Amino acid sequence: MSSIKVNGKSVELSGDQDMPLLWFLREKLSLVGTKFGCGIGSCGACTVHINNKAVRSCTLPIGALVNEDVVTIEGLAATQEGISDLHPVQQSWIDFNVAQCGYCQAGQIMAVTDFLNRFPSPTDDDIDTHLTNLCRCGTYSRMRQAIHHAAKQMRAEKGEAK
Amino acid sequence: MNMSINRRQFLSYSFYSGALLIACPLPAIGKPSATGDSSGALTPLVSISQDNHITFYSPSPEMGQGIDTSLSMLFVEELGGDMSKVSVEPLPYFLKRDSEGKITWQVVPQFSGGSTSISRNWTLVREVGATTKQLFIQAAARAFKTPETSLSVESGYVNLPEGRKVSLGYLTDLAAKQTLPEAFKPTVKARDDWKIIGKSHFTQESKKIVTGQPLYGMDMEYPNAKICLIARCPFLDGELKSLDDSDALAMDGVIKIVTLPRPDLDKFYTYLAAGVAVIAENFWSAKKARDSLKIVWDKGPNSNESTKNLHQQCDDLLTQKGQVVREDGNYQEAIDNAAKVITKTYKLPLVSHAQLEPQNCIAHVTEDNCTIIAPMQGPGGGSRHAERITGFDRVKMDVRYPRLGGGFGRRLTNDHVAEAVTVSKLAGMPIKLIWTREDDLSHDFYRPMGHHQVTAGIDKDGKVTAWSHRLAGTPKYYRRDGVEVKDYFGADMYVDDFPAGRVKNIRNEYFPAKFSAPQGSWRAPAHTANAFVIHSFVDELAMEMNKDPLALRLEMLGEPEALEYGQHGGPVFHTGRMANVLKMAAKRAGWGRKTSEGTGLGIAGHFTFGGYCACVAEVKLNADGSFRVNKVFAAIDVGTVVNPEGIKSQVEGGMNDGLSAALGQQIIIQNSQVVNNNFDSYNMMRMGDSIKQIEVEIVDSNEDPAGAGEMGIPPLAPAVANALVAAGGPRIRHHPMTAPLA
Ligand code: FES
Ligand code: FES
Repeated sequence: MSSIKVNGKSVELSGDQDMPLLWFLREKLSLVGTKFGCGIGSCGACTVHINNKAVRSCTLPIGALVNEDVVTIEGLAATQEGISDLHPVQQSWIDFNVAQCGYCQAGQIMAVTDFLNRFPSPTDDDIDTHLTNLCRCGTYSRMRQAIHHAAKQMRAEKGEAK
Repeated sequence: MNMSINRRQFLSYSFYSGALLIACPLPAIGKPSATGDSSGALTPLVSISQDNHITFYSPSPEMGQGIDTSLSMLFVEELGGDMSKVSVEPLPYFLKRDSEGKITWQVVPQFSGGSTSISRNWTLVREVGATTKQLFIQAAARAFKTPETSLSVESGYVNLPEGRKVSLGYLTDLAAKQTLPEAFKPTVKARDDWKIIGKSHFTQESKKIVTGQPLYGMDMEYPNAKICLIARCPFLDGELKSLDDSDALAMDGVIKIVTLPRPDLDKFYTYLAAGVAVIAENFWSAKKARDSLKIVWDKGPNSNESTKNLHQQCDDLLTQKGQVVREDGNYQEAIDNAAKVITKTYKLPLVSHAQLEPQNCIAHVTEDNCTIIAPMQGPGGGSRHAERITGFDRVKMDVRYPRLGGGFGRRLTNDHVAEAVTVSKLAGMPIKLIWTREDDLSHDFYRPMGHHQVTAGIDKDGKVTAWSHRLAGTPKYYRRDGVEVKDYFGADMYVDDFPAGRVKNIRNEYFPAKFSAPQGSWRAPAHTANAFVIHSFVDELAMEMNKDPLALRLEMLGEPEALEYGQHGGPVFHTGRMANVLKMAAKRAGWGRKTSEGTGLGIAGHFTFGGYCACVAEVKLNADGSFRVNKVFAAIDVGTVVNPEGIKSQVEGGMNDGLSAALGQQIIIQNSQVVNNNFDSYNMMRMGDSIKQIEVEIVDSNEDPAGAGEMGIPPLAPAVANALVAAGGPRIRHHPMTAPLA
């Protein structure tokens, strides 16, 4: 049985090895911030980071994992240096009042944080092409603003860190 | 609709009768408070802690429409609280029996739907706030031996003479012991004194949402509750023929399997389908076991049902004579005398709610009571199901509704609750029912589909003198208790909608199509379809008449006047308010400006449930025929503005939601089963097709406030269809706009 790190803590992958990581997180670890929306890798509500990359956890069996570093929405802020209890993307989401029902938003934020690592100065086209998570409440236009704002914050922080 | 309270009612709302106090620790009526802590509980709607934090218990389930924020604003405004120190929790479900034994709400009606939460609570919640303030004034007057008239409440403090102040939190216990004077009547603030109402406030739950805290039914836990998945009959009204569950029962983690009989065919739904319920230790075990069931279904009475046939049926119906549901003047004569007659037909499919949080429900039926924890827009309906199924008194039930991961009308019906309660009763244990997305798209109360044939007769002066709207479609009221077929039209055609009252000769006809899929309310119900039809058609008329589409609309609306409006959102439809938002959106968009090659502007405005919303869409047509909505300029008038930010985000969300529905969504049924049952085949809009930018302008006025959750959707689709034509594209008369109807 292998073990992985979840939000910095070592966790044994016990139980049915076919079980998708999503349900392992939600039911075994009570990390319910990662959401179930479709179960087929389409909506992105279940997005987590595995070795710093956004992955849809609903179609990833735990048996396929060895030693990976998993970060969920609950552990996202702690991946940042500094004292804030929020990642700049989370903060931007609050500042732009993005969430409506909010159910998709943890997944959106996990997707966006990875995206901004790859596209620190994204264009609207980058956003359109690379962000494919579903939001039934239609918060897309707000998200777009919040993404641009978060990108700016993150660039500024990086600049300061130098 | 607008409720008001007097002193006596305030007392009874607060569990006490006679001249007793309004304060009462919540457990005194045998229910846990939402926080489990009763200190500082002033009325069921509020508690204030020693550190001056206000918890407001909202009677309207929050599903993303921002009602928690708006209602707490109303209360805190009148109390004189500090909005930065307010959190909102769902009000525990409280029923009581009145003196005649009839069940009524103990506190206030607990419900969200039809954009009514603001209008329903507007006076009531402010008066509760003003009454609560009076208790603090009395408490401070006693504690500090100073006349009440020398005191005021502001930003969470009672101001005492000589510039001193004392926090509400400090006074709470004393305030809870005050008796209201016999003659007391709450007076709410004059508009000029508002400090909170009318200013933008953000969702209080934001931080919890973005950090993934457990907020939703799907996240709730309950002692010893096991996970339940149901294999439902995939055929509309089908039945279980045979079941072999031996493999499933032998699987790890599987606890019990029970079967749910098919619901009665001639009654309104309790739950939606016959099924086999698997109860297991966790979701994955339940899912695997469900997949291993060997079930033979009896396809039931509708085995050939398909949406393709349904569309054919509607085409056929439109060649016949329908039920006349509105007749003004002499339509036939006006058409016969018209200089020009224009007829167009528009077609809309069934769509699914697809709220992102799939249905779920925790249920625990014990020997004498029942607990329900589920996303519900109307917990009353959920408890009625539970009462019918268990025979227990619903006044005593423990019913909770956490934040909803989307509602959109899906949680108005409580079939998920009925299922969970039935399973818990049969299995004799607490369960947490979870629907998969396939379950959700295959078993829904779909938004009705319809074919709309619209005709206008235009006289030689270019005036519309005759109008007919003929709708053949699936009735939302299908199987609804106590609704006769002759009344079905009422949910799908709002007969007082524009241009009623403005065109002299009207004849509207309705044809209920026969189809066995359940139908229900889907955000802004029939307005989504009807607005697309009517406001696309008005543009088509404008083109035929060589008129500017905005000018024709304003001409048809005529002089500012309140017209009678008998459906939800009435009693009047004001043509002037409609014209105003149309003009505002047009102005903001620079209506009439020259647009670049391949780009066009389209306009539409619609009256939805008491609110007026118009928009101009700017659409870019690409060489390959695809198109993108680059920008939308919207204007909305929902009367008195409570939370501008709330209205703005609802309009933005509604417009994207409206675009999503218009572009790609349709439920396809073949051989009595839904075939596109997950997001790979049920096409919902993502970022890449969304509206890039939305500007919203809000009219503020002294009119009664309406909600804003549904007004953004209806005008969007027709504005886009109209803009597409202006951009040089084709006239699209169907949804989904990007695919053929199937
Ligand atoms: S739940 Fe994983 S992508 Fe939808
Ligand atoms: S905020 Fe509700 S689904 Fe995105």
